[in-house]
Amino acid sequence: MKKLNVSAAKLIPVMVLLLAGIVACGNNPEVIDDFSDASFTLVDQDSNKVVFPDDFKGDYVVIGFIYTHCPDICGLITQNLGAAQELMNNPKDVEFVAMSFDPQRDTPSVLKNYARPFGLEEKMTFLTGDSTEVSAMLDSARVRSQVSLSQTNSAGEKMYFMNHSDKIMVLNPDGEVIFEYGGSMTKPQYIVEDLNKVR
Amino acid sequence: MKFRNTGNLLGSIVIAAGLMFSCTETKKPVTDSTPPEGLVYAKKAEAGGNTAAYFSYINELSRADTLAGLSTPVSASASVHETFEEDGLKGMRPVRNLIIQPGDTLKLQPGGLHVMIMNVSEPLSSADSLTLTLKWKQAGDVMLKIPVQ
Repeated sequence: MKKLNVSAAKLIPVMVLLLAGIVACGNNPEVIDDFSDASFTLVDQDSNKVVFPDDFKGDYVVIGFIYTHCPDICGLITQNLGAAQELMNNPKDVEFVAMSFDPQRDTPSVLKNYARPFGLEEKMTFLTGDSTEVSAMLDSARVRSQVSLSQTNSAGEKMYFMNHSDKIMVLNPDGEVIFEYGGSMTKPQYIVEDLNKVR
Repeated sequence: MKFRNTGNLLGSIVIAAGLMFSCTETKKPVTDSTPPEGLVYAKKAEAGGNTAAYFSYINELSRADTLAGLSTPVSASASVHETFEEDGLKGMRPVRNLIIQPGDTLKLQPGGLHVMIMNVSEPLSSADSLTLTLKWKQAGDVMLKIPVQ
């Protein structure tokens, strides 16, 4: 077998470039989407008007998409958002947001009730709003949902469930989407690690 | 084609591979969801809300068994559903007459099979546990105490 004679002097610049590449890419992740020119008027769980992303500019935003009647996936997304926030010790420069794609049922008070068992009703922003405005925001975020299964509950009320995207994304302080995750199955540590690389 | 300087070629490959790795490592579209063995819990919920319960059950009989139904004191509506992914969307569908072979373990876990409990009659908090009765065709009623987290 032929041996490669690579001198240490040749390898040093290579290693320097490699390290520079890692640092550069870690601190300047690729922009996946841009919300900097977008503006959506929504409401939070306390019925306060929230303009997204304007009201969050200057901070990082970790946002997940949910509906409160979802028993499995959306609870996991909500838990992951709350766990990431806790792991970061409630940072002042990162806002944690859950946005409903079921504004018809997810009124501010319903969102507040939903948040309470997670202990997040005061710590996180839960967003809903006018259906048209919510749809526009979801389109921009490439979040899809559609009514699927209907079932009658014990109170005799017809309930519907939804098929939906499973997503958490991170926006930088300029309103650009820099990270996306499978919302329910991503370990919260990964979100924290990524944020800590760019903050 | 000859490469005169294999050292530089090697360096280029290392740089390219390094840059690719460093630029893509932060994207994790979906990660593993393997729960710890013996994962047993029900999610917290407000009164009137929906929740899900997760647990494992081993069929210790010498013949197959079928889960014919479930019940819980906190809701009149408890049933097995599975979460599935289709066309990039996550959804749920009911699973009826779940059959478990002798010696097999039925695993209900987040993002997969789960017991869907609708319209709970009282708040479920982390201090509570949920009683769930599994109605097996062969084993009969099996009662589980599931912690709420």
